[in-house]
Amino acid sequence: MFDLRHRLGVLAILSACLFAGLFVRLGYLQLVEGKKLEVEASKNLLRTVIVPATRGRILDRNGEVFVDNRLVSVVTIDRQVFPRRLAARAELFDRLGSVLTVAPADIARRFNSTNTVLAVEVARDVKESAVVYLGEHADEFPGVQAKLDFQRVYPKGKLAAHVLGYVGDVGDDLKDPPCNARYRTGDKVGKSGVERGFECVLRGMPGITEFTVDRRDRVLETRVLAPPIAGVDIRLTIDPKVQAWAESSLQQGLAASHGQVGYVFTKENKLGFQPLKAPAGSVVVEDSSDGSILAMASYPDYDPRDFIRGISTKEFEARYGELAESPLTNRAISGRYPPGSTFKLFTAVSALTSGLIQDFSTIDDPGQFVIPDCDSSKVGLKCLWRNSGETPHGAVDVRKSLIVSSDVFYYTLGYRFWNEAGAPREGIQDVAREFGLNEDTAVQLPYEKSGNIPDRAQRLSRHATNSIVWPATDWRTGDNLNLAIGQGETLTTPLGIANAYGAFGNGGSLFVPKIAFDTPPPLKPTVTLVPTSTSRPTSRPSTTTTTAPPVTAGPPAPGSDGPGTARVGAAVPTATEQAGITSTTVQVPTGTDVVPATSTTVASQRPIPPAQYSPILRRRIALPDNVRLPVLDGLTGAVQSSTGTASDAFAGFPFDRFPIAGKTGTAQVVNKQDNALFVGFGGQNGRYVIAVVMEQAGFGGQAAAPVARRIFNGLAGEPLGTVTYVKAPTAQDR
Amino acid sequence: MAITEQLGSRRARTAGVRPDSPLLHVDWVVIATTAFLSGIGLLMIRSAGASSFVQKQVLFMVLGVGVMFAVMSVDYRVFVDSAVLIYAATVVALLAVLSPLGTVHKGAQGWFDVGSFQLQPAEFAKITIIVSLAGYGAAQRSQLDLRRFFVVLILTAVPTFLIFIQPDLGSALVFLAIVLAMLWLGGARAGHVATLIVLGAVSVFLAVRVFHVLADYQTNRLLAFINPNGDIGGSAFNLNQSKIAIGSGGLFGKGLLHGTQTRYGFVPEQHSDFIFTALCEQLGLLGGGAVLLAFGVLCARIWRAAASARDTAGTLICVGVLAMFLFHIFQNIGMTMGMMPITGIPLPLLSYGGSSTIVSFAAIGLVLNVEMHRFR
Repeated sequence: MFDLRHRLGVLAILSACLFAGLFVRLGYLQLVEGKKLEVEASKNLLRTVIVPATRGRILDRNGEVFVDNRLVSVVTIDRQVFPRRLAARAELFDRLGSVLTVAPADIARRFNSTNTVLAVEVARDVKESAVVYLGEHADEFPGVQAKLDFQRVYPKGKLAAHVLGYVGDVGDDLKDPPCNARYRTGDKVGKSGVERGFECVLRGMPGITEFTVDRRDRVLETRVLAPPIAGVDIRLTIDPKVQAWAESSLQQGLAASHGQVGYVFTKENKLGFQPLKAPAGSVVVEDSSDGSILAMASYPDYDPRDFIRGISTKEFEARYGELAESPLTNRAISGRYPPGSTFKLFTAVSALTSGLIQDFSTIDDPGQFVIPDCDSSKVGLKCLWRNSGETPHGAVDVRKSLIVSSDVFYYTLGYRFWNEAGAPREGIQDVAREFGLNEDTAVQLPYEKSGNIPDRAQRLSRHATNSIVWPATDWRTGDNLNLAIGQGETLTTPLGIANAYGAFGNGGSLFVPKIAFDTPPPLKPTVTLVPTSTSRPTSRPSTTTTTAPPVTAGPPAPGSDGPGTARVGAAVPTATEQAGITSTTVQVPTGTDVVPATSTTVASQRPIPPAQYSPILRRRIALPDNVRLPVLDGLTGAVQSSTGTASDAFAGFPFDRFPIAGKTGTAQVVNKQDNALFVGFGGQNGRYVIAVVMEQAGFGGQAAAPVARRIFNGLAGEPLGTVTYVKAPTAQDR
Repeated sequence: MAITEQLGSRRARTAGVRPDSPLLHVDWVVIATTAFLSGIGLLMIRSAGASSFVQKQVLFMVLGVGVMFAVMSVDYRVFVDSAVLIYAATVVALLAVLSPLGTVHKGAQGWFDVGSFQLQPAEFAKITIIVSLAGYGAAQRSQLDLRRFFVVLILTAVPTFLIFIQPDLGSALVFLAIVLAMLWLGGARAGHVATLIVLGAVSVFLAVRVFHVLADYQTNRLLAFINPNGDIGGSAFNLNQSKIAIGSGGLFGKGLLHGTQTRYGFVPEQHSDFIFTALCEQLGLLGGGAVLLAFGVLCARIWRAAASARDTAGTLICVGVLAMFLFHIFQNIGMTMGMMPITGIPLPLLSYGGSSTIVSFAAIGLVLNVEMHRFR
């Protein structure tokens, strides 16, 4: 027999143990882990959501909208909730596709394109009815959500696409975010152009909203911890009319050059004739009186509307052809070109400033220049330097040298700078650097390249760094000859050369070119999680430290000079003329910039930012009359006199009403056809500077000058006409 | 017979009753504890939301109390004597529920639809098997030898298997607990019982890991229990949320109707399987401890009834009920606190549910019955 009492005792002990276990566990959970689990419980309930701010608009010079925002419905899929099994996914893509009238494959592709843990955007600009349907059938679409988002719209289409740039998902930018702001995966960020350059002011400040939710993420309570602050509108200095002229003229010019006969220069310097490719180019129009940019065109271009929902490399290539000509590149600031003969302005200024030549000193131009004491038997030494077409120009002074574009004149100067006792050896470089050609212009746009003015120090350091890429061991006379005519390693951007010409045209004020009217400083980059409803800045004190001082000194405007030509530029803006544009403080209207993004009023009703402009003077360049006037006469003659290299392109232009001066350039590029250039300024006091650079388009006077002419037509109020290739030039330059 | 006896007793009470009259030996502590637990249950079901649940649960309790009194009104030896009948009826009912007569709820073919209510024969089988086994055990005069040991196992295995294939794993496991306790007190050899425990554990392991007899959701629940941080369906989520809810209640709780976890739906089935979670979040350690204590007292009184029972059948009935309650309590509360895997086993007296409530009351009626008849 067994002992019942004993067995009951075992049962009692077992029961007591079970109860003790439960008690201990309960006490442990509630007393020891209680605080921690309490936090977990509250985390369950709270969802902190970053509310993106409305992005600032981009307006043109007249206050019309270039880039606006529109509220669109976006459908996202949350990976966390979305089915894991592939079959279930495919089935959901099918159903979603039929609701959204989008190809299921398209949805699947976009869903699989990232591996973010966040919701993936699979459709954009979705119909209202589809959003309603998804909301009503939420149970059938696990993880699928519709939300509102802002989308960029471009009322003016692709006009000024390179200037405006585009926005895209913040990706690689997260590593080095603009303005040190905190971005999150999926945020939009300016990728190029003004969108990038002014990202800090355009983006505004995201707000923080906290939601109390239940298990199914239904919102029970909403608390705005910090309202989003809308980005500031940017008013560009771009004049849409001028921009349109620049773009159409450039395209017409390239089309006109296309197929014309051109040269190819190989490394061996042999000439080959080929039809011109003329694939790309750039135009800059700048106001030389204050450095504001009126137009900036680059070809090939693109349509920013293609980038609203992102574009794959494949799609991009299908739409824009090969990437070789890089349509996304803004050649006006990112293209580096040898300036060719347009550089002669700076050689001339240097020669006159250093006293190497005088106003009417002449140099004999027999059509070629032989470097004295040159040993032609030495390998790699070029002793005989020719004019374009070996045309002899006879006795050439500085005026004529610019009008007919005599290379021999400048070869001689290049030789003398480097070899003549008492001459500043790097006088040409010094002047070019003063005009800012050795650096970038500091325009507020991303990806600007700096120019390059080669000198001995650079030659030595380059050779020391990589003797294979840079085989030349030292600076030689021939290098100085190349420099004097803007060849060799001399490189400028279209904006850089335009800005330098502008400084010459306005009498010596080198400005930092500006693409926009004054903008307030960006908001502090960090987002605080502390509710700050009262201490939000509504008006920002604006201090523009780099504001230009009023320009007062400068040579007086000279009268007309020479038969049939009207002199341009000259007059430096007077104090009264400057008053309208020189302001030391900027008034930001209070309250206008604090617009909650949740408000359905999209930016369009917001006031236009004031057209206040503070020019930034980089430096004053001393240009005494004895230097400036001969060169100005030369540039004027190049356009207006019958022997000028650009005269055919400007035939019939009303110079008496709208004087123009400028210089053509035909730059050799190794293994490619010549680049055609024209840089000039016109209008009252040489106010409008235009730089035209056309890749592989032949002679500057034939291809580039007609493009500038058409834009000047517009600026002067003449009929625009169409750009035609100048078939029989009176003179050919280099 | 019982009714005339009761009527007679009531008359006798006024005029001086016999000291061994059952009516004098009703355990009021058990009744008070039962009332307390039922009240807390109603309160929690109310806090979980729908008032229709409360109304229905009140109805179940009234029915339960009725069944309890009915069970008490007949001497338990009557039940013991008709053990064969009861056992046969149980097996027939469990077979019937697997036939087209039964309906499927929550994935198990284990319900009879009766009007707008559902009857779960597996719940009722728990007490009928207790009574049946007690009847068989009472008939034995000496220690259970191996043959009788197997008879008991087979007697239990038949209904257990029928429930397991519904499938209702949780209820099937209850039978394992019941038969173990009853074998132990019925005089099985310690070695037999130990062997049974080991074999049972091994076969459960094989069944789950090698033959995969469990449904996906059952495996997931087990895996979620083993690795609470893994993301296996909603099981790990439920488990974790339940722990968070209990822990965040602290000493005094968040107050009635102020439990954020339960109120906003983070805890599932908070009116039935996870009712203890709702209780602990809202009433804290004090509320949860009080309920645990009440269960402890209840179990202690059942143990006392087992110890003081007049015969082996009475002891076995009480031990069976004790094992049933213990398993339910430990499994259910342990599950809410992450000590046990998730199974759909209700907390007796507290959880919403018709069959469960009625069976709990009936079981308590059986215990009271044994106890009040301990002298006669």
